[in-house]
Order: sequence, then C-alpha cells, then structure tokens
Amino acid sequence: MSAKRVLIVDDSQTVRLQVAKALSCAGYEVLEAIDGVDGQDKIDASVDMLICDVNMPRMNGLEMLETIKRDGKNANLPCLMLTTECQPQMIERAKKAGAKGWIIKPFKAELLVAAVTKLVAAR
Amino acid sequence: MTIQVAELEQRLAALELRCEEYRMMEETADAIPFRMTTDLSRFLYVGPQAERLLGIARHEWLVPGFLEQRLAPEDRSATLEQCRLVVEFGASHEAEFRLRRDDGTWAWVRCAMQTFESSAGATLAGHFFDITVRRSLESDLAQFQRLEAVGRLAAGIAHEINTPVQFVNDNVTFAGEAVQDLLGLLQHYRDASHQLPASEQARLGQLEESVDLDYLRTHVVEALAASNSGLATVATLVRSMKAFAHPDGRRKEPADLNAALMTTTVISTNEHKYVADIKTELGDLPPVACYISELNQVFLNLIVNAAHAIGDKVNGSGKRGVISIATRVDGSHVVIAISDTGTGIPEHVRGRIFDPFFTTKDVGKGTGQGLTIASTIVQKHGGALTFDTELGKGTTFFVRLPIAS
Repeated sequence: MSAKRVLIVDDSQTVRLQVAKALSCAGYEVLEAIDGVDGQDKIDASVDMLICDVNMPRMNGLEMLETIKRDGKNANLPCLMLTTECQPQMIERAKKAGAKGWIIKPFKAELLVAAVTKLVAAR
Repeated sequence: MTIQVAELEQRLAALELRCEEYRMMEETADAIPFRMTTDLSRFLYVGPQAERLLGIARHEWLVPGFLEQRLAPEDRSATLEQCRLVVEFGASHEAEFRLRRDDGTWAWVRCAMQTFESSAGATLAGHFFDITVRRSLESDLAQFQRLEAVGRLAAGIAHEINTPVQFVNDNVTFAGEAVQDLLGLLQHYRDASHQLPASEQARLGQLEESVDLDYLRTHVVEALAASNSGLATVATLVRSMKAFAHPDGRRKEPADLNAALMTTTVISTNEHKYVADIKTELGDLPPVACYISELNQVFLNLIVNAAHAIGDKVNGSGKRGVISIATRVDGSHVVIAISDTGTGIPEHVRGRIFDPFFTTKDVGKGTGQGLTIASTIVQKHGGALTFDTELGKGTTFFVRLPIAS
C-alpha cells in the first residue's frame, strides 16, 4: 500500500518544514503549497488530507476551503486548520466549510500526527 | 501469616506516605493540577493553589459549566476547540486564554493538557499556569514601542516644521516693519499732495477711495500682528513637541519638572481646551533626576484622563471644568498633583484602576493601559502614584518622586 498523501498549505516555509518533518516521520508523503491559489492547483484525487493556514497572500485558507466545498469534486477531503488566529467568527466559518479541527500554533508534532492518522483512517 | 500482614501494613503505610508527599508537591507548586470531564462541562478536581494563584475560589471551579462561563468571550471558541482536539485525538496540546476571577478582573492562563484513561473512564487532565504578569509585560512593551515610534515621528515632524515656521515668522516680522515704514512715507506723500494741482488731487482722492486706504492702513497692521501671534503659537507647540519627545539617555538626568508639565499641557491642548481651563500653582522645584520623556508620558496620561473625566461630566452642556496642576517640595521628594473637577472614580472600580487591561471607557477608546504604564514608570523612578477621589466632585492624582536618584 502506498503512503497516504497530505497537502500542507502555508506561506511560512518554517511551518511547512515543521509539518513535513512531523508527518514524514510518521510515514506520510507530504506535498507543499505556498498559498490558497497554489493549494487549489495541487489538490487532486490522490490527496488524502489537507492542512491549511488561515492568513496567506493571494487567497486565504478560509476562502480556499469554501471554494473546494463549492466545487464539490474534493468536498469530502478532511481538513485541519493550523493558525495563530483565534477569532470565534473565523473558527465558525471554517467549521461550516467542513474543517475537522482548528489547531492554534504553536503545536506539538504528536497532536498533528494523531489528528491526521485518525482523520485519514476515518475517510 | 502474622508476619506477612505486618509487612503489608508497613508497605501500605509507606505507600500512603509517598502519596501524601506527591500530593503535597503537586498542591504547593505554581503549576495548578486539574482534571475535568471530556465533554468539558465540569471540573472533577482543581489544586487548592488555584484559589491563591488565580483568584477563583475552589468551590467555584466545581460549578457545572465553569469553563465556558469564565472564559473571556473572545477566547471561548478557540480554547474549547483546543480542549476538544486533545479529547478527540488523544494527544497533548496547550492553550492560552483569559479566565474571569471572582473579583471580575481577568487572569491570563496557560493550560497544558492531555487525556488520561483510567478504570473510571477518560478525563482531560493537566496543569494551569498563571501568565498574567508575562502577558501584561508583553502588552506594556508593545505599547512602549508604539509610543516610542510616535515620539520619534513627532520629533521629526517638529523639526521639519520648525525651519519653515522660522522663516515665515521672520518674513512676517519684516513685512510688518516695512508696512510701518511705508505707511509713514505715505503720510508724507499725502501731506505733500496738497501742493499738487486740484485735478491731480481729485484723481488721488478717487484712487484712495477705490482701494479703501483708511481701512488698509488700520487693518494691514492688525493682520500682520495676528499672523505673528499665530506663528508664535505654532512655534511654542513645535518647541513643546521637540522637548516632549526628547529621547532619554541610559542614565537619569536632572530635569525641570515644572517646565515639563507646561510642555505637556501645550501638547495636550486639543484634549482639554473644549472642556476645561488649566490652573497652575507651580512651586520652586529643584532639578529632579529622571527619565524626562517617560515622566512626560505620565503627565500626559494624567492630564488627558482629567480632561476625559471632565468631558464625561459636562458632556455637551457647554459648561467647563478646571484641571489644576500643582507642584511642591516635600522633604526629599517632589509632589505633583493633577486634579480635575470631573466625575470622580466610583468606589467599586477604585481598587482596579491600575490593573492592566482595566478600562471603563468605551471599546476602542481606552486600552486600559494608561494608568498601568504611568504607575510602572513612577515606580521605576522610586516614587509612588496615588489618588484621592470624590464621586461627582473630581479626582486628584499625586505623583511623588525622590529628588535624588
């Protein structure tokens, strides 16, 4: 069985690196995108899970998530938000667009791996 | 058989002692242990030090719905979501949030948590840490940095304005003197014009009337004098801005606090001129060793607060209040008293006005940091900031500073 693929969308290279390291150690294949537009381009049927920042240039994470949901093709792709934002309205918006969790940075690798494992398995 | 029982009893006693030791350690540390139900609806246990460290009585924690009720509304969804992640995914995580203390103030809390499985089922367990002081320092620092940037900007602008103001002022003064001379000369021409032929005199009379010479003679001088006085006001303001934003050195330097107070009243003119008159009773003060621009910040905060307190009281009635500024020497200290005839401070908030983030102003109007910062600065100078207040009559703030550093 080939490794499950996780797409991390974040404009910070450091965060992408941190996520990639945590997940590849746990046996996942990690794809990277630098903002919402890039993220949309890289999503296809082979992606099993999405991890997404909120504040990014060109297209933010919430807009990207809503676009994916509207498109319908990958609407059931599980998604975790990973951000420093904590505004109630944003969290509610993400949940409405189907986000499975809102993780506030800083995060521990352990939590991210546990969440990804459970969400990918439940798919 | 009897030996075995005795040995077991001994071991049990040792175990109990161990348990007691652990409990002691856990319940006297600065980290507050807690356990709660995984649906986050209620706490099963909170260390007794929570009462001392976070200002929330122990029985309050055990009230169902405590967490949701005591979380600051802005932090509620994010915090509950972080707890939920821990429960759902069974991994440890941290969260920072504000909890309302029993006295209504806010405590900043960091929470490290994980799930804990036992025969009795799963619970969410971890530790709380009081991070109120850290958060307050961070916020003070941010505020200081903002003020410093504004100060630098103001000093720069003041410098840029100063040069043109100076030459405009010189030119207006020159124009005033020139006009005086020309008007003197004009009088001589007028006197001499009587020797001209009658037709010429009539033509001159018509011309004088068409430019309204008499009006010009009086009003040009007045207009130039008014310009001079306006420019003097601008120059004073610019000088005050430069003095106010004067960058502090690393060491305290002797400064004239009376002059600093006058500078600050000029800077804050726009805050008080519509609601209050300024009355000063400045005593003879020796130079005081201080960081003057930090003290300027204190004076500015107190004067602006005084103006707001009066503004709240007169509130568009057209009446005006008084801001009194008095200074005096008291032994080895100087005392600066800034009084207003404003609303006074209600009794239930008197104990909290120096608390970080505490404000009675509308959202967006006050940060709740003004008096906190003022008090921090005065304490840093080895002094004290106190107040006297009477509801409906007004408030006096006293800044007491040692003369020598």
